[in-house]
Amino acid sequence: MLEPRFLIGRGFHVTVELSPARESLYRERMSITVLLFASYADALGVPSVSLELAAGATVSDVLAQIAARPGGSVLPARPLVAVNQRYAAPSTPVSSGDEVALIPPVAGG
Amino acid sequence: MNATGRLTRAPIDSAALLGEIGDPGHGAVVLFLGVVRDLNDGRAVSGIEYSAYEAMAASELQTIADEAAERCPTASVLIVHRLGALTLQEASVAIVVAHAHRDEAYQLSRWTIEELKRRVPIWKREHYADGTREWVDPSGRAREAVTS
Repeated sequence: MLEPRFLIGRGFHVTVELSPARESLYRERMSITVLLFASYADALGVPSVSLELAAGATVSDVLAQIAARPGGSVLPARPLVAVNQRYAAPSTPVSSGDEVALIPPVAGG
Repeated sequence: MNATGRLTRAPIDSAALLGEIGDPGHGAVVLFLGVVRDLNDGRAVSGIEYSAYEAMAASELQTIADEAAERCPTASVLIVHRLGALTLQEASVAIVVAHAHRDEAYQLSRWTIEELKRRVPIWKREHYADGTREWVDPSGRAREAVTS
């Protein structure tokens, strides 16, 4: 008879009961890369940020997380955002692998 | 007709662009150049650095050219926007619109530059004669000064 701690290392599953709040926290997380440019990249000090978001997250959720980071206060209440290189509304859902970009006020020409 | 929009890092050669769009059916060719000038908001400018969300900017420029051609299917439209560090009097953007007649060419040229300024994700940082530099915000929000 083998010791239980040994068996756990050989493919046994451990089930832990979670409260509903905890369960939703761990369910279907996704990783999103957010591109930053120009004044936004300067303010946050990086050209891109990786975020962990819950499934069903929207552009608004991305903005809230970026705004909470150091330098994030540079963002206006409703900055331009592109998802997969198209301008997107705050309610637009984001999915794992999407290219999300925060677009500072454009100044071409 | 022809509809092309693109980015470049090389200096804009307007004569080459005019040659690119040439067609015997064109009676009017309007060339618009956006050029780096030496003064903005009362400050002496020494140069402008252009950057972009390049993949999206390139596709937006092509989309604007396509939309211009839809507005006026008998026109040819060529849009080229430059990126990188530009000095005074260098062209940052060129728009060539060619048509059988001048009225359509002038109108479509104006529409095209306004669309470009409204929606293409390109940014410029002005460098000033006093050694400072700033991202330009045409929407009028507060600017952040950076000392170089």
